[in-house]
Amino acid sequence: MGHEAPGSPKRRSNIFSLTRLVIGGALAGYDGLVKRLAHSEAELDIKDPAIIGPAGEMDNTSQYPSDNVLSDNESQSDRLRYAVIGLIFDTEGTINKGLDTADQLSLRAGRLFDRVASPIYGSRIFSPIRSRVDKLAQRGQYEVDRWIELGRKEEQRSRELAQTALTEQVDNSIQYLTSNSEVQELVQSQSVGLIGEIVEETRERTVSADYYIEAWARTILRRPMRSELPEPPQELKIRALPFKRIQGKIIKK
Amino acid sequence: MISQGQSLTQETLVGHYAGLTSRLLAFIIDTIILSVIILFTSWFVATTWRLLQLGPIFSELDQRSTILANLTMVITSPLFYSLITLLFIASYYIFFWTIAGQTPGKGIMGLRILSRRGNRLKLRFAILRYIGYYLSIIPFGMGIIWILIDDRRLAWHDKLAGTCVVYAWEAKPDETFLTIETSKLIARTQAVRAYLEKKRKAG
Repeated sequence: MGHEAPGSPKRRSNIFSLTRLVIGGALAGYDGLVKRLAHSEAELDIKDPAIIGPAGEMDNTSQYPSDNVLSDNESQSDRLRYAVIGLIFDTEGTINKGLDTADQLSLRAGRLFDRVASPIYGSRIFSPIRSRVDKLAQRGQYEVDRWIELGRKEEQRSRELAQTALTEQVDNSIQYLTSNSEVQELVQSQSVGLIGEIVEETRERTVSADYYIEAWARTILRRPMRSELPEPPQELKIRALPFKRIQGKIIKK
Repeated sequence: MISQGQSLTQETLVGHYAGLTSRLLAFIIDTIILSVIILFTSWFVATTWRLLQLGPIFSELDQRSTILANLTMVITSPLFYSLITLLFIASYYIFFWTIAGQTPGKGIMGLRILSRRGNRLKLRFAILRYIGYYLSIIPFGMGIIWILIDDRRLAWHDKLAGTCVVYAWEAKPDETFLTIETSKLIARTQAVRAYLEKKRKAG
């Protein structure tokens, strides 16, 4: 009970979904990473255009190191490290070039072999084998075409699945954050703190304005400026405070 | 009676008489709050009136009874709405003054209304103070401007009801700002006075 047969549709569907999710996630992640890297590279290029690009992009003048590159401040180990890093980047360019050359060479070799072998291959001796080989090649081509078609469909579906899973996960996370009382308390305390600061600042400024406008009005009315306000009765000072604060401070006889 | 209270208020202006700017700002905040409440209530009443189609119902009833017709006329008249609004505004102020000693606006600005002996405001004095508001505003706001002149920063309505408005928070004016700006103000005034004096003598 509950165990699914290895080939059952549900198990197959789960594996399919998981595979799609993995592939979709990898593709989406790869796309995002490539975009991010391209953006960072562009930013770096703007900041420091003197950075040497990949081997394939270098021009002839920049291939030779300047005096700045071989600075006296660098130790031998530093130079060795730089040389290894440079070699890695240079190798990438060289490999690309090599692959292009190998591709062209294999194409030429294939054509040459075809030209040389076609009289033998097209002869009557090979005719029974030829039809079988053609059928085999046809079947192979059909299989490859099927893979391409499947890959095309699956890539699309995998991307959609990964996108949906990601969106749902983000939604769930947001929902969790909004329903979490600790997070709510944090946001509330931040907002209240900000409002409190604004109120405090306004109050402070208006207290100063109280004095300034008074001084201004008294000057116009030719009344003497007062150095300080008359002292209010002690009861007023105490009662002015909120009741909770008074409680702890008043000691009644 | 009180022993530790002094230490509370030594360096700050807690319990000192509040000035015009703070009080005016508190009044503006209260006006905004009241306006929002009145606008929302008016909208709600008007929408309910339309939604329940009370107009045709009342006109139907008017035809049956003269008393009801008069009553409808009173209810739907603009004067009635104005009176209700005025009553609501008065209730807002009087309620908060007697219950909390401060309206929401005054609460935000950290002000408190007390009797001059430091007691909480009683209902009759709150009503008197509210009437005094009009007496202060009608002569071009002279009763309010009086705060600038009076030694205890009392407006006319404060004098009438025996109340005062005090800072209910640890207020501290910006001493540096005040010293610089006040000295500038004095210098400017003296210059103007000297010029006027000179002109008077020359004339």
